[in-house]
Amino acid sequence: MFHFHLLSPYWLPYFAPELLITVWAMVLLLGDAFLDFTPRQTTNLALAGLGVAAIETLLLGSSPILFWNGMCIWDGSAKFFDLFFLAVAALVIWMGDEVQAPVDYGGEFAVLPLFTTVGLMLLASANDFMLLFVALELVTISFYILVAYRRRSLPALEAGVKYLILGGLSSAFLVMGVAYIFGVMGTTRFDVLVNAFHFGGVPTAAGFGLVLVLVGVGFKIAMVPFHIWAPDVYEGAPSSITAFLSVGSKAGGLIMLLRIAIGTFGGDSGTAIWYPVLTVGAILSLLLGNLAAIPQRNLKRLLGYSSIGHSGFILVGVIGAAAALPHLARPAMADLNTGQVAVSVYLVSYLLATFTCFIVLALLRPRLGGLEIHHLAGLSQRAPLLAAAFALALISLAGIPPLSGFIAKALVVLVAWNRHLYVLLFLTIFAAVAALYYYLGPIKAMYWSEPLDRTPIRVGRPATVVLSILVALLLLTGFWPQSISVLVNGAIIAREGAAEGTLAAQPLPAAAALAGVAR
Amino acid sequence: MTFLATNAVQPISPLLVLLLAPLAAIILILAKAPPRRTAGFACAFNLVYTLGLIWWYPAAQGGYQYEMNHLWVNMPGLPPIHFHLGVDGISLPLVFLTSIVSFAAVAISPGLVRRQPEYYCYLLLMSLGAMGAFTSLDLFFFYIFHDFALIPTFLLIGIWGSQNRQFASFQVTIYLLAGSLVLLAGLVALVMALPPSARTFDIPTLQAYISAHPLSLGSQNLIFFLLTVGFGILVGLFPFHSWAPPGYASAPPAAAMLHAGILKKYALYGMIRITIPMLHDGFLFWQWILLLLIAGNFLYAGFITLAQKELPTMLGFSSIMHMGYLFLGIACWNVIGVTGAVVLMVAHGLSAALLFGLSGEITHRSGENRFSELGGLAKAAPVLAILFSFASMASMGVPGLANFAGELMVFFASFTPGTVPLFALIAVYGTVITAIFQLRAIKNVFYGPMPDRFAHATPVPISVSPDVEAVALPAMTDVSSLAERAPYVLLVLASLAFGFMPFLLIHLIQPTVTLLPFVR
Repeated sequence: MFHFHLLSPYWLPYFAPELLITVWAMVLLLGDAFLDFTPRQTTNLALAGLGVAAIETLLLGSSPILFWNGMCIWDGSAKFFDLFFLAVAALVIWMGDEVQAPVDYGGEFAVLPLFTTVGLMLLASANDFMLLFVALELVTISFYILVAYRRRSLPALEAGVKYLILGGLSSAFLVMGVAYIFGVMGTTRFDVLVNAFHFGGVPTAAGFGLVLVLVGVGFKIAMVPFHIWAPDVYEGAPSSITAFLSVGSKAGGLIMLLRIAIGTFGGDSGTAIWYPVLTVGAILSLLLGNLAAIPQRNLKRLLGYSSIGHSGFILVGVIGAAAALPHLARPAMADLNTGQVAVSVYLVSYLLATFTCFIVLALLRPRLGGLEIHHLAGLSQRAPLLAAAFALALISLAGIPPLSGFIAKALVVLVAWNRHLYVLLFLTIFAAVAALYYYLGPIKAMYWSEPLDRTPIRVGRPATVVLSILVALLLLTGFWPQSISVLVNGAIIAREGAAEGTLAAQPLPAAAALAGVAR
Repeated sequence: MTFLATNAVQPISPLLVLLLAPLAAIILILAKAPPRRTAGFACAFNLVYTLGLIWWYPAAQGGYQYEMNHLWVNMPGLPPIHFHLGVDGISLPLVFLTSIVSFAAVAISPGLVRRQPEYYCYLLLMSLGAMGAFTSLDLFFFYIFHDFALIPTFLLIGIWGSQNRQFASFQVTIYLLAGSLVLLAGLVALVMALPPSARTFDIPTLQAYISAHPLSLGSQNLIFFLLTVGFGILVGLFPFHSWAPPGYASAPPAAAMLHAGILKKYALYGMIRITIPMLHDGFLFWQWILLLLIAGNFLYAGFITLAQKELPTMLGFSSIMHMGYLFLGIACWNVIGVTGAVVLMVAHGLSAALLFGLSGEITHRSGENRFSELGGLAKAAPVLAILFSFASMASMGVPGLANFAGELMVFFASFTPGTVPLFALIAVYGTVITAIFQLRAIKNVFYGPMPDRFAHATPVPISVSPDVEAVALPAMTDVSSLAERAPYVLLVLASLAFGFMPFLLIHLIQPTVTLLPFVR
């Protein structure tokens, strides 16, 4: 009944942000080519487009709705992640123009992230493996260009090639997995799959497909052992794109993971398949990410490894959101949602801290002559604001109160304890302690060491304002976590596990029930 | 002014002022106010204000006073967090300790320190963290205020420390943060062990619920273990103490005063406030192990202290050793023991602050901290010698000084029925060890022949601390001016006052201690 949907486009508001940004991006590309927009103009117009899309998204409710023959879903998680991606894109585009070292960039450096953002937003509301794959490719392909944007610099080219090859490989895994699932089940729609799994369990071949899909997703979130690309690409890409990869791409992978693992394969037989895979991934990410960061001297590589470690922390939250952990009786719904709240809070705090770090690094790069830790020596005396912002961001990433990162880590610990994930709990704490060491290193360099060159580093007003806002938010969300809760309150995916047994009467109806309405 | 002390929860507590004063001072310093004077004024204000709070606290009645309680965070899936301030007879003496030691720490800090504004901001942040931790009645704030103080500690040791400051500051910070993460796991476990509807971070509510519905023995044992390891690391309980001596030896004197004097008491306060009353069965299960570890503090740390060859390291070990008395008093869990432990917390805070401050003076003025190179300084610095002797006597538990009152109560506590007198004997033996190393320190530093170079300025460049940049070391000087002497004299007077009139503290503490659950 596709024509019916076109005649009464009740879905239009839910799809308008994506539509708007797509059209806007094309207009800007053409404007860049034919109307001689300066990069600054393109950037401002792109930011304006993002702003309109964000306002539109904010006005939408968060009750679950399926549309486009069940291809798309709108729910609290979609809203949260859409807003998240819009914020990330705005920061990236702003950084590209304002903060970045002077590269010979054209206006498309501000437009390409818009396409990436559309892809990410589609990922957040995909309810079908087909749409998921197309959206993911849109993300990945625009990233191929962005990563290698400084095409005359060798490290950038190396990063671009690495990202291209490994990104292609991961897409291949994902498609192969989807093919297996489609081959056995005859459908790629999540809600239909949920119904089928609910009555017949997950067939072995579909389970194999799921594992391949997880491999593909693992690349996106830099989960060990699929993390090899991360440090090299982080080092080679322009700082704004590194931040985009580190926050945007990771969040995109996580919403995929939530939709697939928790939403679609959330029943007993499905969980039994992904639970060991993700647990091993989380354990390895926590250990390798945090231990391998210790010897790093290059700050971008250090943040690359730390981002792998953060994937580990967030995965603990994802695992804790599972309804059907093999070793546990079904808990109350409130307990289940804590896992997803932890993931959302972690992402918000990670966004704030990571962007603060990369904005500072982008500002410093041309002035310090390099981004090794020793280049930071005495920064607190040359640029007090930059040093303080960077130190607070690192402290937040380390999870020390009263900053935002503490709330995130505390929630992960709470979830792990609540869901009896004791091995993960222990490793979370161990990894957090190991992480202290490398996060304190740059702080030591900035505050203890005497600078070789004492000339003050001047920072422009826009950068000062943005950094101050980010730092204020880091402190605010740390001291008053209620401020995040406005954002994350509804960020819960409709899930299969909720449909089973005694949990049928939960406030959020399961995807399966919705599917009937939409059909 | 009786309106200040009513049992009713008020919209705004007078305790808030204690937190806002250092905060305001920090903001003023960042706005280019004179750092030392601003910090000193804020701390002096807090000290006077605390005395007022104590004066109007209804001591005979005990229990929480000056309360304010606002819902702070109410998120789905997370137990509610309240911004709940309040003090009782146990935390109020610690608030007093915080304000007096903070004032002394600011007052002894040199006026010409490098990067002055930063230095005083960090000191104020440490003081603020401690103050917040002692006045918070919600686990969330109780936890974050303490951790909040650790980053300034890291920077203070790293930037203004001496000797092996780089290594020491990393060791202290990582060790303590690791301890607080274990503590966090324990606190989360405690809250999550309750059924979902009862979960809260609010300490009095939590206590009321747990008193009515005790946890199962298994979870009590596990959670008690986690909390005790966490708190044990923070306080330097026997196998977890190795961070402290090098850390205190390298820290600038003011930071060592604040940490050894105040922040370390946080863990003991947590044992009294949370661990033992809420997990009493777990406490009974682990009591023996805990007592054995305490014996480790007395004997192991005590003998190591005897072997130290440098003054600051010796003081670091001795402050670890003295945690044994405090822990012993708490582990007896009877009225006299806990009261004694709180008295001793104040007393030890005063004497540790004195000793670390004076040791800083000696090191700074003589350019030397090894016993073998020091001697005869009493001739050049008689006032310093007197003050140091007072501090040492306090630390030894000589009657007339505050530590004696506390230690005596702890000894009595461990001889009462239901406790283990063996450990009292070990504790008494501990005072002998203390007497040995403290007297030897006095003798080696202040008496005997004075090396020549303390009498005349010498051209030998010895760089003990990065602050000593002089190529020629001046001759040994005394704490001469009133401003230099005042902070030490203040601490000595406080110790003397509580030594001769221990009832000042006991009347304040005891009624609240009798209200603690399970206390014998």
